Amino acid sequence: MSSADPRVKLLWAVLCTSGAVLFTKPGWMLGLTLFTAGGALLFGADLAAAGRRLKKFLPVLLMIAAVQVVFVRTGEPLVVSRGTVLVSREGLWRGLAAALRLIVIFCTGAVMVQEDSRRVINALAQMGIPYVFCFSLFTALRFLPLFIEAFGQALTALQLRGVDLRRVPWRQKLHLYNALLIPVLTEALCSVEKMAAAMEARGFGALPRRTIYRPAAMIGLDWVAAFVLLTLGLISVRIYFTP
Amino acid sequence: MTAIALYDVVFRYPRGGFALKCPFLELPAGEVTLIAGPNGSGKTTLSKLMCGILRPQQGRISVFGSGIEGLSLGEIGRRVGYLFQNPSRQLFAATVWQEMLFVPEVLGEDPGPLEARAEALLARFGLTELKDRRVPTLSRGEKQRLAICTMLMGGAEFFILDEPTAGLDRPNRAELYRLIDELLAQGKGAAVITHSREAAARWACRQVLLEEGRVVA
Amino acid sequence: MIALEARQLSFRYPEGPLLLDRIDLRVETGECVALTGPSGSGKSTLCAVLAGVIPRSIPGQVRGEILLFGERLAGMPLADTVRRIGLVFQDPDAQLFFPTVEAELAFGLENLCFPEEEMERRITAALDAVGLSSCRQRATKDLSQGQKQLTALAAVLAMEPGLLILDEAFAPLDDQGAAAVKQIIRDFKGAGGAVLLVEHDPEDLGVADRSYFLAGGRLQEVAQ
Repeated sequence: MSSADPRVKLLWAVLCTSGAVLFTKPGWMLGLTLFTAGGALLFGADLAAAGRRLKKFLPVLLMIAAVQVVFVRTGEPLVVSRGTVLVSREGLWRGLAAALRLIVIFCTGAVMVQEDSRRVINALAQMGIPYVFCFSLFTALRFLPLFIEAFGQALTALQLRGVDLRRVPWRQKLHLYNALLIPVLTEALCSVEKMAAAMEARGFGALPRRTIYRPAAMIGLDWVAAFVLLTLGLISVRIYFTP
Repeated sequence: MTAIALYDVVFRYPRGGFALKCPFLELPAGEVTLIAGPNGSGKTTLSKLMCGILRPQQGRISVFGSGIEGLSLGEIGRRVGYLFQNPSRQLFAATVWQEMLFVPEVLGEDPGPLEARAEALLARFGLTELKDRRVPTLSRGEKQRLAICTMLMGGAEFFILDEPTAGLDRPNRAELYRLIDELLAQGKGAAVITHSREAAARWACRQVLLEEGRVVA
Repeated sequence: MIALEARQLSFRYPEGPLLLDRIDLRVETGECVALTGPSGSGKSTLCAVLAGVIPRSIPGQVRGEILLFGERLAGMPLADTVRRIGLVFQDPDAQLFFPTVEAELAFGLENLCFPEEEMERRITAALDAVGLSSCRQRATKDLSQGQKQLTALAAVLAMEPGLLILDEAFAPLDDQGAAAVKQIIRDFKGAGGAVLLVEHDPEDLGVADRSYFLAGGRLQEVAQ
C-alpha cells in the first residue's frame, strides 16, 4: 500500500487527525493511535526516523501531558496530599490522550512527508481544487522546512567560527538564535521572490487550465481503501457521539 | 604537519544512492590543496566531511591530529574554517565591523580586547574602507574576504573553500587568489574545491581528483 | 529576423537610482550574443527586464520598448512570452521546485497544457541534450550545483523557446557540463534559435558571435 494513490493517504491523514481532535476518551484515542500507526506502517512510512524526531519532542510531549494531569482533578482521586487531590484518574487519562494525539499527528506527518509533493498537488488538482491554491499551499508548507534548513546552515557557519554551542549558556544561546533569525529569514524571503520569478518564467499561472504529466490514477485497491476508510470514519463518529 | 587526514572513510547519504569512499588523504597545513572533479563527484561532500559538518559511517577523520569523533563543530571551527559557496549564508550582521565582532557581541562578551585584532585583519584583507558598509551591499568577493576574516577571528588555521571561483569575474577571481596568497603568507593552509583550470595553474601544488565518489589521485 | 530588440530601454527599481540608461540591443535568430560587464553593473537585471520578469514578477519602472520576434513584450500574455523565451537564472536552487528531475521538466510543459505524449518526447530530448538522462528520477536536492543548473536548463529547453537567455549559466558547471552547454548553444543557433549569454569571460567560451558591454547603466557593442 506504500504506492497507494496520494488521495487515499490524504483521506487517511484527514480522518486520523480529525479523530485526534474529536476523540477525548482515552480508549478511543488509544485505538486511533494504533490504527494510525498501523496505517503509517502499511503506507511505508519510516516510523523509526519519525520516532527519532519524536524523541526530540519528548520533553514537550511530557509537558503537555503533565499540564493535563496537574490541572484536571475531576474523577476518582489517585494521589492525594493533605486533603488536596494532586492526580486524578480523569487527569491521567486526559494527559495520556494529549500525548497520544501528538503521536497521531507524527504518524500522519511521517506518511505525508515521504509522499511526492508533486503527486499530492496533482492529485488534489485532479479532484477539482484549483492548482494555484494547491501549489501555493505546498510551497507555503515547504517554506518552514527551507527556513529550518537555512537556520541549521547558519548555526553550522557560526560554529565553524569557533563557537562551541555546548559551552554556551542557555540565555546566550537564545540571544544568539535571536540574532540569527532576521538575516536567515531575510535570505529565505529573497529566495522566495527569486523562486516566484522563476516559476512565472516557466509559465506558472499562464493559462486557466493545465495538463498533468503522469496523472495519479486510482486503481481498484485505492477505491476499496477509500471506501473502507470513509465507512470506518463515519461509523466511528456515529458510535462515539451516540449516547 | 597534517591539517586534515582521512583514513578508510566511507560516507553514504541516509536515502542511499550516492556514496563517498576515501581510503587515504592527508592535507598539509600551510599549503594549498586543490580538490577537483566533475559535477556530482563528491567534492562538496568531501569538504563537509573534512570539517565535521558530515560524519562518516566508517573510517577516521582527524583535524590537526585529533579525531573528529570526539570534537564538536565549535571545537573544529577553532582550527578549520569553511567558506560556503554562497558566503551570504555565513554573514549575519548589518555592517562589516559588526560582523567582525558578531560572535563576542551575541555571546555577551566584551568585544574591546578583540577590536585591535579585527582592525588588523580588515587592514590585512583590504576591508578597512568598507568597515561601515552594509554587508548585503558587498560584492561576492568582498563577502568572501569578510567571511574569511570572521573565521580568522575565531582562530582558524586551515580553510576549506567550496567553489570560491564560481560566478566571479576576472577582477574578483584575482582578488580571491590574492586572498589565498595572503592566507599562505600568514602560514595558514587551504583546500580549494574548484573545477577552474586557472586556479589549478595558479598553484602548482597538490591536487586531489574525485570521480564518482572516489578519490582517484 | 530579429528575435529580441530593446529600444531606448531604461529601468530603475522603485525609489531607486537609474540602473539601465537608454539601452539599445538586438539579438538575431541564428546568433549568440554575449553580455558582459563588471559585477553589479546590472546584467542580471537587464536579463530579467528583457524576459519580462520585471515588471511582471518583480516591481520596477521600465521605459522604452522591447520587441520579441517583432511583437511588443509589454502587454504580451504570459503564455506567449514563455513559449518564446527560455530564461535560466544564476542560482540553480531558486529554479527547482519539485522532488525529482523529471517532475521539474514536466512543470513548465504542464503549465502550457501540452499533451502527455508531447511532454514525454520533450522531457527525453531535453535530458539527452544536457546529459542527465540517467538522473531522470534522481531527487533534485541530491544533485550537485552543476547538475541542478543543467536540470534548470533542461527544463527551459523542454519548452522549446525561440530565444534563450542564460544568466551566468556556466558558473556552476564543470568542463563536461560546460562543453554540453556550448554544444547546446551551437545546436540551438543552428536550428534558428537566438541566444543571449551573460558571462564574465564569454571569449573563453568561444560561442558568442557578438558582444555587448554594460557599465554605468550604458550598453556598448564591443567591436570584434
